[in-house]
Amino acid sequence: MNDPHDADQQRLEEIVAYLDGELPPEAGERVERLLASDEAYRRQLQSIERAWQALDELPLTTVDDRFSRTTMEMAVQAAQAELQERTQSLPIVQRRARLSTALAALTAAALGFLVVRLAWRQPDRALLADLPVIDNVDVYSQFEDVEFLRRLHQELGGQLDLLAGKSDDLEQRVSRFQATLQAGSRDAWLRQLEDAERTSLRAKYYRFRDLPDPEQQRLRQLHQDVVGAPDAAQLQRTMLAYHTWLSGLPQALQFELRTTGDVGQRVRKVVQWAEQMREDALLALSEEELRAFAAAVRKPMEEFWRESGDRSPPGRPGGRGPSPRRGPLAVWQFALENMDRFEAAIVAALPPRAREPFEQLPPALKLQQFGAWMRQAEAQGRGQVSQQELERFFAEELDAETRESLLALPPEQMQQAVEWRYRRQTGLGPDWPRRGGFDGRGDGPGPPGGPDDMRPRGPGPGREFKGGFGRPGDFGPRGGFGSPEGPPWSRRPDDGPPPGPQGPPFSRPAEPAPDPARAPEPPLDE
Amino acid sequence: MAITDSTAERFTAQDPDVRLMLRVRGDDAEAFEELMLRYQNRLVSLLGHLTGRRDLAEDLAQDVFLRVYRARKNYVPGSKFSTWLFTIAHNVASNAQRTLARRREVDIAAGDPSRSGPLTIDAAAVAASGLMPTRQLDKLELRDVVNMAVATLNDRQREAVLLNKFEHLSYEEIAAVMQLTPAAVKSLLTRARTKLRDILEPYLQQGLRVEG
Repeated sequence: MNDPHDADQQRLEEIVAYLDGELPPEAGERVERLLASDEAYRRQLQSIERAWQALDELPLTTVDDRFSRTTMEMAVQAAQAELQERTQSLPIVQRRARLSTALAALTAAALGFLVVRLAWRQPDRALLADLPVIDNVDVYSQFEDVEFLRRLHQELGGQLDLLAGKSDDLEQRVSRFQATLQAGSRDAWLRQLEDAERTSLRAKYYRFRDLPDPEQQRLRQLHQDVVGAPDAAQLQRTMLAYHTWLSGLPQALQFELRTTGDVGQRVRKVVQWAEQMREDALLALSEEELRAFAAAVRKPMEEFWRESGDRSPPGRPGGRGPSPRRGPLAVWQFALENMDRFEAAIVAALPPRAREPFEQLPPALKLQQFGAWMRQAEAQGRGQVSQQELERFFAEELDAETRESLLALPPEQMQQAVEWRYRRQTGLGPDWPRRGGFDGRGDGPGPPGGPDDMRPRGPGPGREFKGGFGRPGDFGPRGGFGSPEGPPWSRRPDDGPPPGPQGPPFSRPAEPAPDPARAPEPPLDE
Repeated sequence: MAITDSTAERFTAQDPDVRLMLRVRGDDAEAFEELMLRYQNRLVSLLGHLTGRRDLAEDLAQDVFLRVYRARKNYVPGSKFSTWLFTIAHNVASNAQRTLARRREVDIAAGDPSRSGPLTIDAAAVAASGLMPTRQLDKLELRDVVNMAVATLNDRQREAVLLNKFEHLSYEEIAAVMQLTPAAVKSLLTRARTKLRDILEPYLQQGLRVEG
């Protein structure tokens, strides 16, 4: 007689095996007949199946990238141990023989590949696969084809210094570019990067990754065009020099160049701007040079003001005595007419490298450049005058009438007006038409950097570009000379702060750039 | 038992993972990586259920992959790759469990009533549904109950269930992995499924009633 427990167990095993598809066909058919005829049997099968399906709720484990990486590293170590073991097991003579070398080479090759694979983890896989493109994503984004590079190289006559300067930066960039080209050594290259460089590269990777697929493909293709061209080396140097120069421009001007559709026009614009930036760089004075320059031209400046006499700008009480007010046009005209007499003093006060570029400027630009230097000297000197010194100046060096007029001003304005006078008299803050002050152009001080650095690093030219690249806050909130009652030729009724590097004027690339050689127009507020 | 050429050819033809492993045998690191990526989550899941500890599961899974790599030169396709891999995993897990047992780390199967902490299947069920008997178990609660139910199985039942349910191994393949006979696997799975049914059915029925 069968044990009921055994029968029940057999019945359950049959159901489970049926559900698992492990029953032979005949047994399966018998189970199906029972299911059709036996309600209890059917319920039993359904309950087992229901519990089995509930296991689908168990969470799926997911390991992170660290797991894969460390596992691969362990495999590399295992391979290294194998290599060592196999080498050591050879007789000493054989170890020294070619067999050992060949064995080591083979295993090392396998190891090397494994190591490379280690680096090909996501997202490193994508990073390494497109490394040259990603590392230069900002470079390739700035032009559309290699023809632009060829035309630019041709227009420059091969003189890339105009774009990249004479520093070693370009050579370093070329070396870096070349290093990323070799797929086999990319991982090693990546590993030797400093943390900051890795972070920067990672940011580029994210920028590249976030580009639409067609743009990614365009950049990849462009890279292939650059490296696969017969003149690849020249293209690469031109490309990197161009980007070196371009990165010194405000974003809006970069945009302007990108959106200049005609390649020839864009190339000419690049060369023209670059030449002007080089000139401006020659004319840029260091802090020490500015200080010496301002002190050296103090006397000629005083002479100028004395001679201008009754031409004192309006809104400025007194000057050197009561006089009818003349408009800024008259002062400007006087300055232009007499520029040759001051020029010798100005040139003598300049550092030698700036003399020739200055002398080559048209008279109006000479005047502007001089004004820019003086304002820079003023801005540099600002904040260095103690309150005590100002009080002494006010009490001892100003006449009674001037003091009275100053005292009539609100305290804040009085402070500014005293300071303005102090700077003018001491040569720290001469009153002079600012460069581009007549039409709002080029109010910036030009690119910073000393005489040894010809490459544009900061703001660029102030002559060519509307609004200039200058520091908006340098010359007071209204772009004047630091005095609320500064010369009117420095201000226009609607003058706001001069546009900064990314100010609105730069965002109108379609607007033609003014001719840098053209004399500034008369002020509109006369 | 020697593996015949025809067997090797059959598995090579049928199982892409076998072909990958043959590339690993030829020192193809990319193939090894591919195999690892294919199996790492599944392996850690299995070992996690077997040991009850995620960190230990990852360590053991790495050990398994390392053994696969070290054994690559002697690999001959005598079964599906997954069967071979899970056989190694079974051995690794068994060794680990024995070591843990010797160290009196007896809580490796967290849900086993005889070895678990205060949260038993009954406690989990009460926590999940006892306070609100008429509501349907939500996904999260059901997961907790199922987790606990699986943890009540003994080690061999649990392993057989996991291999059968999630790795879709046949009785024969499970037998090969666990070094049992197919009949023993059948019996093992029957007891395991009956036990799971006994534990889960009341909660599943409760949910169905509410739903209906």
